[in-house]
Amino acid sequence: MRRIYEESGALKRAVERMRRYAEGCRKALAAFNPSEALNCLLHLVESYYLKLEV
Amino acid sequence: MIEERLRGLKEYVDEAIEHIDLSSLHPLMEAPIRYMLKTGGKRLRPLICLLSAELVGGDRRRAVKPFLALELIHNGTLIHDDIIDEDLTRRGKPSIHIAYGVKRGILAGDILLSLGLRYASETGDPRVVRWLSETSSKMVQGVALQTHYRRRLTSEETYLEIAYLKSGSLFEASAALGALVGGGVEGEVEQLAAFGRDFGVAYQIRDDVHGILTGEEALNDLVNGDVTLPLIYALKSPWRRGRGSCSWRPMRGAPPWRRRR
Repeated sequence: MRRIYEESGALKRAVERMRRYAEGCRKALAAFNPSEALNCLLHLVESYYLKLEV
Repeated sequence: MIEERLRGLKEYVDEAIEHIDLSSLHPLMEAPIRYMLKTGGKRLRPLICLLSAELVGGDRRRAVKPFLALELIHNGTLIHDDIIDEDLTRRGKPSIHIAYGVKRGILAGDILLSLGLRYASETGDPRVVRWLSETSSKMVQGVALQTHYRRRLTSEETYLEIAYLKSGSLFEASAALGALVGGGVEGEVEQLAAFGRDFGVAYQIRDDVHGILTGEEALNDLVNGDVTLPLIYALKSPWRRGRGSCSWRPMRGAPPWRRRR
């Protein structure tokens, strides 16, 4: 089943969509000054969405 | 260092959850609720609430009641989801309705939702109560829409609407309420609400993608008739043409391994 999603490009498109939302998260946080809390929130975005290997 | 800090915050959250006052409950209902709360989880919503409060310069202790409210409501909806989806396990353990029966499961979910609103009211801030009450309503509507669209082909737009209602709205509340109780100004609350919204929709898509990568969940989604974003893309893909029929005809009824004799 994974092959169908991969060969049709559906998996790649879904990952790209997810990453667009992750970029939205980063943009929303861009207005805040650097802090430990900010780094933690950015880390969550990165580890959950941007580092997901397909 | 960041991971260490996140681990410390999660321990803080876990401890607060362990000390939730369930003394007013009859032991009949206390047992399934304790069982559910002890199954753990990543505690992402409380973490985001805490970090949002700190981000706007607030004291983390002010975020305790809101994050407890968020986590209780989250767990209540998980119980109801598992019953609707007939999921047998949750976080590697038997789901509540398997361990305690469907009727107790439904009622345990109801109690968790009302306990969540109790903790929200204990913040003394009507904005928190209102926000969480609206979020609970959104989440229920998300489940209703998902159930309605089961076994039907839906658009990407509808999928994203459901993803927001089911998942995005609670992450939105987590970040926004953290900012509210942390003393953030209106613009900060709005920015963090936007952060939570996007985080939650991405979380739903990640769940779909992860299901395909691991195999089992994707099969469950197909069997249940749940529409995932990769499925919508696959059915729209030109790759389909010339490969015979690959239209979506989900199985009717429970799969053989879920049928009870």
